[in-house]
Amino acid sequence: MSDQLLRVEGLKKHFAFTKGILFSRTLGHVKAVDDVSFDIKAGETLGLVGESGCGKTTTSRMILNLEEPTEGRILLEDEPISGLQGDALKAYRAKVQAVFQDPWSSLNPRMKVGRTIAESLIVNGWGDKEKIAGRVRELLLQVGLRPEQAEQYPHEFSGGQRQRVALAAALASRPKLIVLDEPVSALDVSIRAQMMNLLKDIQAQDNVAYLLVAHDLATVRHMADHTVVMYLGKIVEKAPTEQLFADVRHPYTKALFSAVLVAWPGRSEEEIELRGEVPSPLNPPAGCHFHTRCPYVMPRCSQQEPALREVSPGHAVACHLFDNA
Amino acid sequence: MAIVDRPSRTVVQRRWSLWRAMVWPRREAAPRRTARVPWIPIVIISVIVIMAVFAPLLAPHSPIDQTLRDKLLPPAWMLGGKDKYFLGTDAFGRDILSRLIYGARVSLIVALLALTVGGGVGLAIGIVAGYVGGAVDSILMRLVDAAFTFPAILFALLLAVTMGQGLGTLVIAISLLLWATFARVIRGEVLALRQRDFVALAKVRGCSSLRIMLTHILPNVLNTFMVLVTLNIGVVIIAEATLSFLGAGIPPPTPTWGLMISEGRGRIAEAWWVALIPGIAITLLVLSVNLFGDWLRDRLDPRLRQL
Repeated sequence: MSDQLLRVEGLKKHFAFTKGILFSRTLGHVKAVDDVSFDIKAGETLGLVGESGCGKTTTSRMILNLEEPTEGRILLEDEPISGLQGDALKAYRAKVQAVFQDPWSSLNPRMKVGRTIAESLIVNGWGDKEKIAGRVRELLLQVGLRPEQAEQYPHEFSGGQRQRVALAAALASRPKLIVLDEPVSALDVSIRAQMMNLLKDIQAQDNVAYLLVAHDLATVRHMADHTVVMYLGKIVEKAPTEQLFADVRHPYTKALFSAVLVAWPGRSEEEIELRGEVPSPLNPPAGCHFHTRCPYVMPRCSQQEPALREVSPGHAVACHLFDNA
Repeated sequence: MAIVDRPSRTVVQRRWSLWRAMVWPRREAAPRRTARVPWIPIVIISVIVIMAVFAPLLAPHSPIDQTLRDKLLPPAWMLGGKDKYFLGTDAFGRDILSRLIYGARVSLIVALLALTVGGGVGLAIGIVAGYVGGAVDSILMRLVDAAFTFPAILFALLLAVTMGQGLGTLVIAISLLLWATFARVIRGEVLALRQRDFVALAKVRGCSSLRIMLTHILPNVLNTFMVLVTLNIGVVIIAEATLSFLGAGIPPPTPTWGLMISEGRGRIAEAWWVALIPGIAITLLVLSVNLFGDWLRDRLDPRLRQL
């Protein structure tokens, strides 16, 4: 299994819900991420899909070592990342970078763009100013900006350009994995395709792996090699993207697909319309978390939690409908 | 005569303030525009700063030497006034204009030092409390609450009694009055900043907490800090004058504006100028600094409008 760049095993994150300041009582736990496992190969893209609040951002924050997992392991190149400190943590940070959703908040407004891009180089002790400046020029060109723009401040850039700067900053330390948390959803539709193609070009050049967190299926289809669908902190379906789009199994994934507007209305296909809200993660439904909204609900669904099992090679689904498949 | 269609004159909207409302009552609720540069306050502040810096060159007499023969002379334009003493003399025959010029020095030095010390401490505590959060934040903010409950003037008097009068005591006393305001406002700013993605990204890049606080947080609260500094210059000058007036400030005979008022207070009926002239000076300076601070706040940091 050494061809896996990143392995996530049984990852859980429970946030305690407390009351009171001084003598706080724990009233319950929000299971933001509950037993999630997947892996990413070098140079590959994994798409993580789900509605807001399903735990996809929390998962990515744990991989970025911004949150401590409650349980489970994250391994980069077979090295567990929990408890990394000092130089080992720095080395990990150089290998795993991120681009966030909001280009207006991800650049320090008081810092020249070149300095933002150079940040990880400075922190990682490149020292030599000429060398850093050279790398910054190279990165700006790579993301389609002009080298002299290094001297400008973020407010002089448009949203799309800012996102390019954020990408350049993430690429600076030549990472092996970049977490892309909704990298295009804040951009104009007209710029999205440009940004996605840029991301693909860079992947082809640098052999960097992406963890693409998104709620937009079109983005995922365009970018991802594998796709993981999450609902209320759990993986409900996991498959190579092509296969998932060709053969949707889980009712929740079907509902997600039905919600996408298609370019040819009137096309008759099985449609699932979800009713009601996502149940509170503080008190998730027993059994299958989805049974309250599932059109195919069976008696067993409210009692027994379905396990994630393979229905065809590489395609796993957590649903009782496929128990006998 | 041909009727020429003239471009309508641009109406400059003045910002509403209590001060302006008293002079020019507002006619209609107008949309808020960028405030005009407050030239008059800037000129007044500049004059006082120049007075303070070049005091030995500008003062016509020594501020300390007594000429008892010329005591309690009224200003030059009044009956019995001498041209030699433009603003008159005090009970010891000292030239009030010269004392005013030297007094500006003390006021400004105290303001500068107290704002550096008190403001700097408040800035540091605010950044640490806001960024580190948790127990550190709770403890520091309870300290701030405690500082707010303390009667500052009383504390300064206590300090003056125990440590003795002087510049150091004065600066420490006023700093103790200032730091809590700075800490609280800056902390609030930092709490908002900490949620921004660039702070999380800085961590992902491998920056240490100290580095994040210095390169990412600090530059982003400097605007707020500058606004707080200007808004508090007035507070400091009044505090200095109050403490000097109460005898807990700079010891006589060094001229300070507060001390001058205190000395003239007893004879306000027969020699009003001794107390009133430094009083006017304080009023002008504080008012100017506050108007300037208001403008700066609107320019740099409109979110602080409630302060």
